[in-house]
Amino acid sequence: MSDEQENLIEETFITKLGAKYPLVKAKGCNEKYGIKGFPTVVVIDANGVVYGEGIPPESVIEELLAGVSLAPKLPKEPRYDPLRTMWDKREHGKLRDYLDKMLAQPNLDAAMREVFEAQKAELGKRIEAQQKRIERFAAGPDYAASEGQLERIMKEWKGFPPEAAAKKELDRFATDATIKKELAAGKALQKLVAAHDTSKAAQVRKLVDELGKFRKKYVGTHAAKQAEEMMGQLRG
Amino acid sequence: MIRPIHVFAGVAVAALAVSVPGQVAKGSAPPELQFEKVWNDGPATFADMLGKVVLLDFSQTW
Repeated sequence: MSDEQENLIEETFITKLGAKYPLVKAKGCNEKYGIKGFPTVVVIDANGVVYGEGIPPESVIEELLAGVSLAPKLPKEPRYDPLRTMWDKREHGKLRDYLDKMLAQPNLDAAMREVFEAQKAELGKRIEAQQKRIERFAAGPDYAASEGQLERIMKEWKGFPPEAAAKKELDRFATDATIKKELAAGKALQKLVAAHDTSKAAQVRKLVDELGKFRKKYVGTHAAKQAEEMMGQLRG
Repeated sequence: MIRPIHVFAGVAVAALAVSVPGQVAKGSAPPELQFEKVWNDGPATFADMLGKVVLLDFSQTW
């Protein structure tokens, strides 16, 4: 999120940092949210309420996500509850089989058929979206983050084309010497950052020192660039 | 996400970002924003993020 010029955002986050996550330019965003320093992270929960500031621990993220439905828009009738449950549990194989079974029924209620066909189309769209995600993750440069995402895709899309596509990229990660080096550096950086509480000034100073050493040790890697960027942000 | 916007569950997680305090109140409705430009399949509008857990990462390029 930034209110700077488009070309600056693109050049910095996409070209230089290789960002794969959603980026937004929003005029006046810093003023509206009272932002006094950068970076500042604001967390909004699934109910559209500000949860707080700063990146929450993984346990809190899991808690927040527990209340989020992954199901696409569905009529509220109880007869569609099985679908909702399968979407939420990411049981995509079970969902596909259920839809096929229901749609194979010749006397299926017309309204239900329409809903099930729409759901099947939505499933197809999500499969395509996964394929695009895989391509983005496969391109790096943050291979450490990509690895985790690809492993998750494999698990959640078992029995679908994304499973094989993600596995193929993970196999490549495991054999490509350059990527292996990036993975090692990326994971080391994640571990280093996780070991410091950045809400405490002393820990921030220590982290800055450690990031300096890290940058030299892993020079030439994407993680080293990330470390340098973080040092700049931490120093303000 | 941040760095920019991180949308969970859809969410992409920003594992490495650190944060400094802002002024938005906990428990309040987040101020609505007009998105002028979106990259990397981000939400087209602020309303598109409703129902998701969202990390808004306010960043600068300098």
